[in-house]
Amino acid sequence: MDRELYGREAVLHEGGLAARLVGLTRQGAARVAYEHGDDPPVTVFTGGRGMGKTALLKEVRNRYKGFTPLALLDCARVEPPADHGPGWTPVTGALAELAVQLAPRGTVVRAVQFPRLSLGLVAVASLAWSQEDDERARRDLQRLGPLLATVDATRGAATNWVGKVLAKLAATFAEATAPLAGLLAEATVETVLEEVFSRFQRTSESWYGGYRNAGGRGKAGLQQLAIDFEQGGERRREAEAFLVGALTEDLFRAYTGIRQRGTRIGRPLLLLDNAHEPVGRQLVEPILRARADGRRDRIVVLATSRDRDHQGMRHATRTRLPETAHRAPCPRGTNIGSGLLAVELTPLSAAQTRSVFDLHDPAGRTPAELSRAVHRLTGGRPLGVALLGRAAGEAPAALRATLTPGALLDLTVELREDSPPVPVAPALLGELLPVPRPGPYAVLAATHDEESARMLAHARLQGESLDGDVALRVRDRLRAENWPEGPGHFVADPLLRALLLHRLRFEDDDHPRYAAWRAVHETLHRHYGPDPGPYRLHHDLALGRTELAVVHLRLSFTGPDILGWLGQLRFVAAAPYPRERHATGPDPRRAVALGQGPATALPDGLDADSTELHLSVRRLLHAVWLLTDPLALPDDEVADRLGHELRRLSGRHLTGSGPLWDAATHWPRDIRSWRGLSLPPGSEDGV
Amino acid sequence: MLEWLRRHLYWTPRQKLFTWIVVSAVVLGLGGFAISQWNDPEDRSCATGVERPAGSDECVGVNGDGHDFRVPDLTEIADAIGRENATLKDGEYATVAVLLPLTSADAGMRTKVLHEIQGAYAYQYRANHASNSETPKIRLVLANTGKGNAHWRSTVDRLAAMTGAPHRLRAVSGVATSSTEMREAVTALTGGGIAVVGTTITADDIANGPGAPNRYPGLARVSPTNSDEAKALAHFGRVDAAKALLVQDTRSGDHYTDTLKAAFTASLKGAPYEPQLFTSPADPTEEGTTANTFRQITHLICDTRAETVFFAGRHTQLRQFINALGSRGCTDRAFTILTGDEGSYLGTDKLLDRNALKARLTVRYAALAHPDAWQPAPGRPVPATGGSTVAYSTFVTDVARASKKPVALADGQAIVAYDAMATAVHAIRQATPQGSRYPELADVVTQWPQVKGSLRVQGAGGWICLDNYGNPYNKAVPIVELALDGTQRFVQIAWPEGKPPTTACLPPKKQ
Repeated sequence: MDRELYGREAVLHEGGLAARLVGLTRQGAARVAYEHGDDPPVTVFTGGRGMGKTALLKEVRNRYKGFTPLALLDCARVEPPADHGPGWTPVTGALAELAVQLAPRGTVVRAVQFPRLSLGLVAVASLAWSQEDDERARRDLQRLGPLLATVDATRGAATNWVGKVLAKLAATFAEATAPLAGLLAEATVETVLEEVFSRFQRTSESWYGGYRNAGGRGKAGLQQLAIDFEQGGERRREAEAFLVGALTEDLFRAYTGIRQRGTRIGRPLLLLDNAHEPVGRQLVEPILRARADGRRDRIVVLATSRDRDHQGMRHATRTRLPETAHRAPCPRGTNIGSGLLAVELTPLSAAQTRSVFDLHDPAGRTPAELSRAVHRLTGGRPLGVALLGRAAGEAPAALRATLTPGALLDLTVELREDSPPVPVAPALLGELLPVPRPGPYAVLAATHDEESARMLAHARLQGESLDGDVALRVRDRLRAENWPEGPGHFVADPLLRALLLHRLRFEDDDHPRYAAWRAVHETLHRHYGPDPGPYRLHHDLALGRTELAVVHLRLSFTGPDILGWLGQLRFVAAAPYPRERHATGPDPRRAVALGQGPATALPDGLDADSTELHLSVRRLLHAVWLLTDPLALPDDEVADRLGHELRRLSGRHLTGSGPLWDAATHWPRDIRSWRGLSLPPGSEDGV
Repeated sequence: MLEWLRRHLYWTPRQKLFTWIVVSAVVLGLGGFAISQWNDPEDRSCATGVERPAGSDECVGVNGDGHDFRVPDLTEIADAIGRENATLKDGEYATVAVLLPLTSADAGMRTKVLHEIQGAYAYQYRANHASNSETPKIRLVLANTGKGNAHWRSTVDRLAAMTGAPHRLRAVSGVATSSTEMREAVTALTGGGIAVVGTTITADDIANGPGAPNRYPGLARVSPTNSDEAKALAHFGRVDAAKALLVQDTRSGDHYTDTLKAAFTASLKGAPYEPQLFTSPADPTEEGTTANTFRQITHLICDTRAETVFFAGRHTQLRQFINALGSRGCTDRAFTILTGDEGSYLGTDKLLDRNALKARLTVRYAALAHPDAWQPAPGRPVPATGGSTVAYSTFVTDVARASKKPVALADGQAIVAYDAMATAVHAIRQATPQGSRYPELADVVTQWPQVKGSLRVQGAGGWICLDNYGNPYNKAVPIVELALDGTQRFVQIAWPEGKPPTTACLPPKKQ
């Protein structure tokens, strides 16, 4: 059963990018014309964490597995085997893994043999074997068993060839006074050829005649390969690249020649997840180089990269996912990197978010606005949408009607059937920011810029800063993970920030004191004091104190710069709301915004006019705070009231009547269309 | 299922190619077979040279390889002929065909056909094994003209095509009935220069004669003509004309009855009674209304003093007449009916009232041959000339080879066929020049006038001395009497000339 992947049709649908590259629709239902002829580009899907890169590759695998040779490798997780010899590097490990995945026969696909790669890896594995340590040799050889089984299933799987190789090695050791890697490799290869390879496959050895200094002799090439590999450094790189070539050559041979031609349709698929990792680059680069030299291996490589601006992709043809739905031209230029097609994954649209929620909550018992609010919170990041949608679907029935994005973060979600439900916010945070200690990140998420972050880190994260400035380390890490940077917030991504602040507030489970939260905001509050500037008021709100902000806004209302005032209002109201967990009932801000709240004390010494203005500003502030809170559901009534208040205020202002009137018109509209509150262009936000 | 097939048989280009080849081969094969079945006529051949004509299930044609024309009765003898033919080598034999309606539906005809073939085979065996290695050897083939001789044309065409190597058809024997088709067949064969030896045809119009000496060039007959039979009967029944009466069919055009009428009339000159007349239907095998006529004639006969009744008519009418006469009023008087060889059909006629024969009524008729004719019996000496007991006993020996079971000889067909075959072989061997292995076709047909005198054929049924028209001269005619059980009992040999031929057996100059 295919998984429903929203917003990825451009790759997965019947004539999508994957089909045009592989030449088959899903499960081989029909053939599709190759878009790029015999020179398909290495396609790299780029996108940050949670953008659905891995899900996309897995879906491609599920759709084509068994119908074309296919391998999916996570380059970030090439696990070294226990106690491996020097013949194992991440690249050789990845190659063996890829070959073993590509080899087996599937529903309709014939088995693929990897004689060349097997020989190369056997030659390389023989490094550093010594006469005393034949246990290691045995282990290394047995580890190659699955790979050799692709050459001859019965002889490769049976391990009696291991014994023969060892016997031969013993003889070689006896003869050679100073055993060299090359000699060992040759002896090993010879035995393996005799024991495992059939007569036809033995010719595959000659492919190594193309190696440096081999002069057309396969044995010499293998010997040289082993020597180079042992040398390390650039030589080893060269040898590894040649082994990648062996893999592609074996795959290519599975499609050509008298015995093979016409026995397969489509093209083989290499799926490389996290190809921005060094291993991924080492795998892709030899393929690209060979293709730039005119080799046409006709292998479809689909890779993912978290790093959009990876230096290897400087010459890539760049496009965005929706644009590849029908055509994805990738003209080959003179650069090696021009064989790359970088496809940027796009976030989900609001409608796709809606579909996800409909899928998980088919009865529609959650609030109608929830999916849209989640889209505003997550920015359409597929992982966030999927997880929150699932949480909404699994929410207790009593809570469903009153769910808000914030309430979703408090819930638990069952990610796997065999493990207990996990809380949403930490789970999501763990996926988006897989760092061992997210504590500092949570603390710094409350800050506005690098300067305040460094201050806060200095004040609050003394214990963390043993090896340098915590704030800068956090900044670099976020940059490395391609998180956006933006004005106003140290952590610009609203979802990540919301999750970090959620952690900051609820991690200690410190109800009702919320010491960590309070400490952080108090520190910042102090830092921006003593004048009641917008930053200070921002943190006042985060601490639950609104009166000072109301007073300040009332007093500054009379000033001439009404646009600045509106900007201040907007910034102050952007403060994170000090939520209570599992709070039921409507948001308290709503009552205040509608003027229905319990009477609170007014500052002393206000005349009637000032009192009216004060109350009006208070309602306005709460309305904006509620409506722009990504964790809350906007409210039509409050939005109407917002417009109403602004319109009334426009009548009171001497010079700013126009902008206020415009804001009274635009802001409710912005709220309803899920935009940020707009100010006339060019105006500063007064901060 | 469909998907499984697609994935395993129609997935890769190679599979597609292979599947296409297999499927198109199957489709083309089946289609071609269907089209060929649709377009080609069904296989109507039965065996080599034998096929079923359109609209008929009979196997018609010429075959000597042992094919039995799908007549179970013929299987044994056809097999024997096939085996005999298989021993012959190319170039050393001449072929003689036996032209008969092998597939006739009529039981009587089937028996007759079987006996004729047995007789012919008997002589073939003798010719090939017991004739002092004379050449050429004789290959015998069966030629079927179909039920009622309806398909004579194709068979005759086939025979005409067999005169060349390797068959070298030199003579056709058989020719057992005197029907129109057979006459046309004989016309066609003789017109093609092939010698024909008729077996049991007696009608005068399938014969050459002084009026038409070359109507059938190369036709010889071993049975006496109707006229000779009638003459023999007349001689046999040389009775007081005053006590004889002629009952005759007025319908003319039937050569058998016409011939009998003429012969009987000639021998009954001076009879006191005019002939009693009846008129048979156009098809004389139909019952018609003649039975009433015969009842009246019976009354009239009782009124006369006649003791012998000459009957000139076909056997259906003969049977009606006998039945009528059986219930006559004047049963105290004995009558003898004399008639031609149609009387032989009475034996198997289920409609015949057997009690009539008990009522002092004797039916005597001319048979073509009879096994007792040339066997001496107490009180019945064998004539010294005109036939021989030796020839007959040779025949008995030969015909025993034709079947494991004893061959029924009573109807004389085997004897006649044997004699016809002997005549044909005689002619073929006489026509073979010294030093040649086989005769020319044209030489065989000219042999008949020389078959006389010492060159006569010593037939099992009597000497066969042919006159210049190919008709037997003074051939012995056994007169037989219908017995109660339907068999025919030999009475006496009669001679068309009134007495046996001389030892020379040379026909006199015709007047």
